[in-house]
This record gives sequence, structure tokens and C-alpha cells, in this order.
Amino acid sequence: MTSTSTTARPSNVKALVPLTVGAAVAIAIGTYGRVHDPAGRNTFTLFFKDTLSFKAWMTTIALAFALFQLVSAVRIYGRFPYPKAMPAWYGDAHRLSGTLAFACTLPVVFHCLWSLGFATSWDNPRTVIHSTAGCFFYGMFTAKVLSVRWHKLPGWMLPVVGSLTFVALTVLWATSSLWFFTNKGFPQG
Amino acid sequence: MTFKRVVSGLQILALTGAAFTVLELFVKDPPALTLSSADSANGAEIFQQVCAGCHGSKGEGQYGKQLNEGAVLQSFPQKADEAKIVLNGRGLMPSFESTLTPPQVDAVVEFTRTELQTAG
Repeated sequence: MTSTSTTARPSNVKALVPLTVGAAVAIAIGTYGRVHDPAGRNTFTLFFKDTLSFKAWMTTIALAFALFQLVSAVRIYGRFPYPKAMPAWYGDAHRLSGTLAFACTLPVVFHCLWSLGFATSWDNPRTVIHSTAGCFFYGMFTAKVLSVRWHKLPGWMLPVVGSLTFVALTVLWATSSLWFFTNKGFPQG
Repeated sequence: MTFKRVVSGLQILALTGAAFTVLELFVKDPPALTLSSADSANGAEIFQQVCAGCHGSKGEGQYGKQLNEGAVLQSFPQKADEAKIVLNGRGLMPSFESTLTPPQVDAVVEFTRTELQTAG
């Protein structure tokens, strides 16, 4: 008699679950941005002269952490040769970089949504792209976090969702911090 | 404490921060204007508290358009047209009808067209 115990195979259909949750998060953020009356005020500044300088730096720091997370992910998947011997803490460093990247975006997204809102006017395409990328980023981030926790997903899920999260953050940075640095000057402390 | 535990702790903190951010989005009201006197329509003060966040403290433009160096006078040769934008908003600029009284709108518009143009 053959064993009846089987291990459930990852199903592509199960991938729809975190993607659907991520899509719901993205839509919720976009809806808030459209419906809420933007306050038009400064929020956090820390030691910067204004909120926009603070945001430009925080987004840049978030991207730097995300870049480390991307490179470390590629190494963990064996697609990158360095470091040759992966230290025991490497996986935790990967997790930490993602956590810090996310944390750095929180005061930024608060100001974006509460003070500025979701841009829809194509008179300024940069802001429309930025608003859309912002919603997409948090949706993908949600899907990624769920994908990490749920081990019954297909193998392609985490790399794809993780990569899209990084791309979204890069677009966010390019349409905000990079624009700020090149058009308004390097933010002063 | 192991590195793994520290990371897990930070993840919980980040999640808490996210929940707090979401909460603030719904409960935080814009701060009331703090002006030097109760009925003050001090254009400079209003500008710094309400406009500078987007237009820059000298009107040099940041997220919002540049206003100094003649920019606002060129865009709005008529003062009333500029006041209309402040009241109704346009594009990314929100409406300030519920934030500013008519004298305050007049004062801040006047400020952008006079003192802001001559400020260093």
C-alpha cells in the first residue's frame, strides 16, 4: 500500500491571494489620497529646513536600504557571488534592510497623502506617476510581506513581487528626490 | 539579545509605526494658524505657516511654483486672479477657503506681490 501523505504543491492560483490583498491596499491608499482634502502643510522636518528636504533625504535613504535588500536577495538566491561565504547574520541583515527601508517611507507617505493628496492632473505628469507608483509600491510591499510568510506559494512569486517593489520605490525616488536634487538643489540640513 | 531578535523587534516597531501612520491620516487635523493677534491678517506670517511648505520660505518654489523674482506677477497680472487660486485651489494646490478668512487671503496675496518680491 502506498503512502497517502502528500505535500501540497505550490499553486499559481494561491499567488492571487497576496496579490489581491496588495491590490486592495494600493486602491485604499489611492482612494484616501483622492478623497481626503489635502492639508497643504509642513509636517516632519527633523533638522532639515523644511518637510520637502526631509522627504527627499528619507526617500533616498529608503532606496539605499532597498538596494541592499535587492543585492542580498540575489546573493541568497545564489545568483550573485559576493560575499563568497554568506555569514550567519546575512539573512537577518536582508530582513533588517527591508524593514528600515519601509520605516523610512512612513513619514514621507504621511506627508504625501495628508498634505498633498493623489495627483491626477497630467499638466504635471511627474506627480501623477509618483502618486501611482506610491500606491503600487505599498501594494507590492504588502504582497511581498505576505509572500515571505506563506510558504505554499510558487517559487517565482517572491522574486517577482520583490523586484516589482524595488522598481516601484526607484520610480518613487526618481519622481521626487532626484527631481528635487536636480531642479531645486541639494537639500540643505 | 541575538541579532535575529533585534530584527524581529524592529519589524514589530515598523508595523506599529505603519498602524500609527494610518491612524494619523484619519484623525489629524491641520494645525490652526498661530498668528500674532487674534484678528491678524499678517501676510508674512500666513505665508510662512501655510504657503512656505510648498512654495519655499522665500517663494523660491519647491513642490509648489516659484512666486518670487516676479514669477507670481507674471503669472497673475491681476491680484484677483491670484486670490481666486488661493481660495479655490488648482491642480495640486489645495483650496484654502476653509483655512483663511477673506482678509487673510487678501493679506497673503498682497504679501506675495510686494514684500516677497523684494525679500533677499
